[in-house]
Amino acid sequence: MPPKGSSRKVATIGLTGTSSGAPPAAKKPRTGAPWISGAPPRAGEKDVPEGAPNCLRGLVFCLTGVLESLYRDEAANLCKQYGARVVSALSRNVTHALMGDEPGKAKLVKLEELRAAGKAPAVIDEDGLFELLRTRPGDGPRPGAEPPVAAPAVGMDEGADEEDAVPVPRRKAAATAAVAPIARPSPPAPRPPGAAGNSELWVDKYRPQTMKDLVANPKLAKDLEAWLSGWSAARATERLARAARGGGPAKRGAPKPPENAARAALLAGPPGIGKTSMAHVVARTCGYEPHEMNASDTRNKAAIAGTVADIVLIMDEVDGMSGGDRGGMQELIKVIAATQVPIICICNDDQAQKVRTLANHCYKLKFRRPMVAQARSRLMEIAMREGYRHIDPQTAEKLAESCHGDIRAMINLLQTWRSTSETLSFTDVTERMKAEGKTRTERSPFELFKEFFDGRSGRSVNDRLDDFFLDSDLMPLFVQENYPNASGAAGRPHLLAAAADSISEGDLVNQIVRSEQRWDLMPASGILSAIRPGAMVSGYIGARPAFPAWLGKYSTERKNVRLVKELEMRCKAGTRCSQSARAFRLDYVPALTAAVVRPLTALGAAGIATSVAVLDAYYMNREDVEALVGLCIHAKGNSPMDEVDAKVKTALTRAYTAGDHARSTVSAAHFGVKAVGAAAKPTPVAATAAEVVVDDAEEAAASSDADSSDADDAAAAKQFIKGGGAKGARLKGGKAKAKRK
Amino acid sequence: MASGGGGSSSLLWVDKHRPTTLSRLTLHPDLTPRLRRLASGGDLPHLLFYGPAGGGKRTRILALLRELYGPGVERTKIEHRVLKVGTPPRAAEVTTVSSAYHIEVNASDAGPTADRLVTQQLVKEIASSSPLSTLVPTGGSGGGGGGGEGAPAGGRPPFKVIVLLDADLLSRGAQAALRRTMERYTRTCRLVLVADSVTKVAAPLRSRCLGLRVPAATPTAVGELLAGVARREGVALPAAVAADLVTAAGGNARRAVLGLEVAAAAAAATGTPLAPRHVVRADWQVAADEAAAQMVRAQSPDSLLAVRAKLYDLLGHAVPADVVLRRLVAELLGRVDQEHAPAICLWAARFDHRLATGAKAVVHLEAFAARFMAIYKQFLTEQAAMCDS
Amino acid sequence: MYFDLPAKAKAPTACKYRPATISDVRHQTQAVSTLTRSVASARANLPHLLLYGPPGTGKTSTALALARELYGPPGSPAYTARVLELNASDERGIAVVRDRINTFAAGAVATGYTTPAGHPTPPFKLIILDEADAVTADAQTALRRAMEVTSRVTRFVLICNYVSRVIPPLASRCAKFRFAPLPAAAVGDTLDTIATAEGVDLPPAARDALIDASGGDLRRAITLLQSASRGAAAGEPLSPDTVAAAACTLPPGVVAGLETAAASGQFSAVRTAVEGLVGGGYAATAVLEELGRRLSAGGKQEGGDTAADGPGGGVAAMDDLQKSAVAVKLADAERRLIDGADELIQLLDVGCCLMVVFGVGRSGDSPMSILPTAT
Repeated sequence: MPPKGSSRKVATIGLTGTSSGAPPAAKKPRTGAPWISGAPPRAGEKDVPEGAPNCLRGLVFCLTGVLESLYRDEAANLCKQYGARVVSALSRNVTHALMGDEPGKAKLVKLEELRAAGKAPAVIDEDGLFELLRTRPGDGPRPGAEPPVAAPAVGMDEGADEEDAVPVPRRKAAATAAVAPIARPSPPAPRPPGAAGNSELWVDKYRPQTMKDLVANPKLAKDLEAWLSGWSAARATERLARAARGGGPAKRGAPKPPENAARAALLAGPPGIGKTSMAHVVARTCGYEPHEMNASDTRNKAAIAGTVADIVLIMDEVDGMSGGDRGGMQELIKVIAATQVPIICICNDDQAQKVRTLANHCYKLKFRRPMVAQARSRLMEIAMREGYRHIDPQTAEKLAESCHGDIRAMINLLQTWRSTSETLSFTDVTERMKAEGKTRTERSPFELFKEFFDGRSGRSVNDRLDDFFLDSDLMPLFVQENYPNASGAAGRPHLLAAAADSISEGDLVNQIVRSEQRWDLMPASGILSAIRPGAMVSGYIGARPAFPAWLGKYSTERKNVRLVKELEMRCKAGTRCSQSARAFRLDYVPALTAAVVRPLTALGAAGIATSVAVLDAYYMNREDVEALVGLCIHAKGNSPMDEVDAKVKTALTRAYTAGDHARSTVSAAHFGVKAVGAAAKPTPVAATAAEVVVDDAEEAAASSDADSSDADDAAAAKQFIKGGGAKGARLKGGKAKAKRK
Repeated sequence: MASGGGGSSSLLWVDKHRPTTLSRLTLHPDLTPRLRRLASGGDLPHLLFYGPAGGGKRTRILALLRELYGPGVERTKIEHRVLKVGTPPRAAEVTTVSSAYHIEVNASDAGPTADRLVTQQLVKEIASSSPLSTLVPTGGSGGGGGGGEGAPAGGRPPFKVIVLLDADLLSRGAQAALRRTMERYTRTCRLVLVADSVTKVAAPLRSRCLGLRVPAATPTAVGELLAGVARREGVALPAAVAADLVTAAGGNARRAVLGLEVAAAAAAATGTPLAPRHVVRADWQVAADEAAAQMVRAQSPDSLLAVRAKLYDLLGHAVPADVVLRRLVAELLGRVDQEHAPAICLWAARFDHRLATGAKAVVHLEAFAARFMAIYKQFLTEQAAMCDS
Repeated sequence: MYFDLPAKAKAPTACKYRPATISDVRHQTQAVSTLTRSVASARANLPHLLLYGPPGTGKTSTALALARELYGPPGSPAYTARVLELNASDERGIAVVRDRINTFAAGAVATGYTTPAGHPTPPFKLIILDEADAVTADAQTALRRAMEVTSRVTRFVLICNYVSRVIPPLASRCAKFRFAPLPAAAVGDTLDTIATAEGVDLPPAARDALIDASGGDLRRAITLLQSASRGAAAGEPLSPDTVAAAACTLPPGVVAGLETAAASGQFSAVRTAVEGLVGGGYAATAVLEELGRRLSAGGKQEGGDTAADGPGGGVAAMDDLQKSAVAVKLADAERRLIDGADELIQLLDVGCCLMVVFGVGRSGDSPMSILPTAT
């Protein structure tokens, strides 16, 4: 083991140029870093000179052997701090080999090889490095004039100190803002540790400064960069195009400009995954000054935007625009249409009603949560720099996992825990997450909902509310699905009724939450729909927990409600007066089903003509037979269509497709599917009693191809529902014909 | 027309025998002269037809329109309309049935937010369209047959009629908007609102319309209607069957006639004369009755799960939740002793309200079932205890 | 018949009988006298006005009559140039104030017009803003500003139902006139006048039904008269039932059936009665209102309806405890109905409640202890 605290001393020197006091008892993790071969003999005894910022830029270092006073990682960080790259293996790209005692054999061999090839790096020792620091020019004034604010750092918290001692490129960049290719006029000194202190949030401290620092969505970063660097060019193209048009607006049908020629970009994604950071970094990379503003202030700020060149407007949280500012979004869109500077909008959910309009005017970039592996390396890097001892990859992964990819949350957690301990093991993470009620994905909802029924766990209502909030949509459904199976309900119908009652009340509250945006009522909803009913029938869940059936059942319900509407719509032509959908379902559907199917069951093939006549009278087609049958409730395997001979079914299909049919061309395609384009005017699509569109032979033939296979009920029904696209196409034909008439 | 002649014979009886003129209306004889007077006045106030489903509201409206405009009103076309409404514009979809003189629309189809804009836009559009020409339209008669009657003697009224279906299902916003629109376009169009439940039509709207109450058909009237249909269809209708059908329909004439046809078809299929056993309940009635039977049969968690399955079945097949609850209540009241009636009604009323305000229908229906089971179980236990002692 | 007028004259009767002068406005003596005086004596001395009160009490009529007296009949050049009517508009936002009102108010006042009576028109324009309480608060603030800026050349007449919904700074700039609901006699007189003029046979019973249904709202009374007379069969006098149907209210005696059934203690009777009500298409809320009226009527109903024959003599004869139990249920049911609940089930619940409470009355228990509660 190296002498304790020595690294810290060097670090202090490195930053402040003054020698620090006695090393505190704190230690830095040394184990586990395989390339640490030994302690420097004079660890911490040399003054590390202050270099000009980025004075080592462009150099590539390779370290080997034990240096005189610096640990190897300190040396490496020192190099990095001043802009050099540090690689682990010698190659022809390496400019300097920093060699200490007992250099690695392989390295020496390689060095010889390179020498032979005439590409050898300069071999220097620690002092050589210091010399480089002193002499090489940087891209800014030497921070010599910097007042030694760092003096108080002596007594500083180990973590903060350590961090300052081991700056990394982004650390330095945070202070200088000079990493971006364009030079910044005023590169301040590396941050004085006193100012850095432990008050600074690590999330700010480690905010990505270069493209490389971005953990997630590297592809998006490239896209955004491409967009931003092409921005001016795109405007020029636009101007040319406009000039070519004679200044008028874009003609309809003119080729649409490529998507990324939009004047604004929209970054959408869950919180904490680096959208804002990316916006800033990319802006700087492309030579713009990022300028953040509140989207609600568009009106005032728009003026500024017009005057200042070379800035990028970053509109954060556009979906959070205040409710009072109704026209805000429209205003923003107007600003975008006229903007002379690139605008980057940021939102959490690009599907939100409010944002959707905006999205049409923007180049959309959808963010994904970083993969665990992506977040891991970054976490480890930060942890190491902040003085955590030994964090293994699994631990970091665990942390990343439990935060659902929210990098901000991960770093915050790291910082929180750092104040109490400097070790972090896998079990620590698990324990701590649990203790802080952040067991998130620890357990599947299948397991978790059982907590609500556990009367002996001693968990408080608040604990249980935390459980509820882990998935406030799914938890009530799980409870609702499974509460009759709780052992506490058996033989106690009053408790069962009370639980059911509570769930029903919970639904009311939930409805208020959703419809009136009363999120403050969420706890009440949770208590009524999960905690209270669970407690009422508490006990073990007897049967295997079932996944909430409601989700599937509800989608079936919606689907069938739509189907009823659509059928009613087509049958209007036959009934001559429209019914309410409910009357149609309750009265017509059973009767129509009987009228169509009964001839087939009773008479077999002889009944086909009658069936087809009924279909025709109501402007239904062959597929609607299955749709009707599907709408009726019957026991499984007891469908009226089952009684119909398969041959008869086939014959029915054949008979139907062979004849000419009046067909109402109003189709299912319209419900939910926007088949009819931007029709501000009504679109007549159908004809009825008096004006019947008689399908001509070719269309009948065409449709027969699709219909002739005598699929079973389910498949047919499915096809019926899905047939939107095909029907939309057919619809067009119908329209054209209507015109011809 | 291709389908007109051939198709009409295959129509369900309820449509085939639907009276199209005022003189052929049989139900509600007291209402007919009033309708005739309205039609003959030359002017028409805004109307509100209200009353339970199957009472014949729309049949009366069609007959009234026919009286006003002549058979041309039967030359209808169906249009599916996509309206761009609001800012930012959203597509709202409705289907309309229209003739040269009237348009029928169910704006509540457009959904609770779009219905207001759809209503306004449609009314505006129709009201601002060119006034009706008084020329008698040329061309063939409509599908309805009665083309010889021609236009009414006094010429056609100079306004169009907008029939607004399910007015009670319109959102409050839509109803408020309608009230204003109604006043503004009163010169060029008249509104005919149709509502099952007049309670849900806003008072200002009600006060701007002439209310026409179309009550449920009386058992006698339904019986006569059935007899008439049976006679025209050449079906022998025994009194017992007629009585069963009338009871089952409960004043809903449409349901009665449809029921008659299904029963007659069943009888015909087996080749036997029509008998009470051919009268069947509709699929959803059967399912709801089974659920009620299950609730009376056993009161346990398993039984509740069985009920839940039935409820999902009903809702999943697009049966409205309030219909399910009403049927359940009716069945339960018929299956258990009268002494439970107040409790059943009390809880039904409570969960009915929750159905109206909540989102997940099954939850409320299930809570009602669980509550009934609890009450009934307690009753059974107490009874057993009394027998023991 | 008055309906067979040329198409152009086919305005609703209520509009047709709008008072032509301020003094023709019925019953609102205070407003009428003040306004008449200011019009007659000091034509230029008209303050901003705020007319408020329930619907159908003559607010709009007064404003229009005022405009007519000041500028001549609508359509005359003076009227067109000087009067802006904003009513029944969907646009109640700030844009209306900004665009229409300000534009109108901005122009200079043309001179040289005279009224038909020979008076010169007053040197200001008149802006009549109906339904001012439906104007958004923002727009009201803007309106206040517009009022100040243009007060030299414009006068505002704001009309609203609820004065509390007009922002105080706006209200304080106006002379306020409250329009009270019309007493039955005033409504009745007007109805008689119009009925005579239109040739409608209006027997006293039907007249009372109209007055009842109108609730002091004269426009509603007149509209109802017109509707009901259209809905009646030809040549017959207007019947109270026709009036009730036209107004979507209950004809007398319908609710009594429910009371009798409940008093009988037979659930089947209650069920039949309720199904009759719902099947009849009557508004369930109207049933509740009627029950509530009977409940609070105190003694026996004057007609001595059928319920009076049953045990206990209907809800009116209940003791206070019983009544309060029923009242709570009525309130519950009404709220549920407003929320869109099912009429049949809610009325069944009410019927059961009545039945139980009647039963308690007979047994002597406290109704509160017997009533099943949903808690």
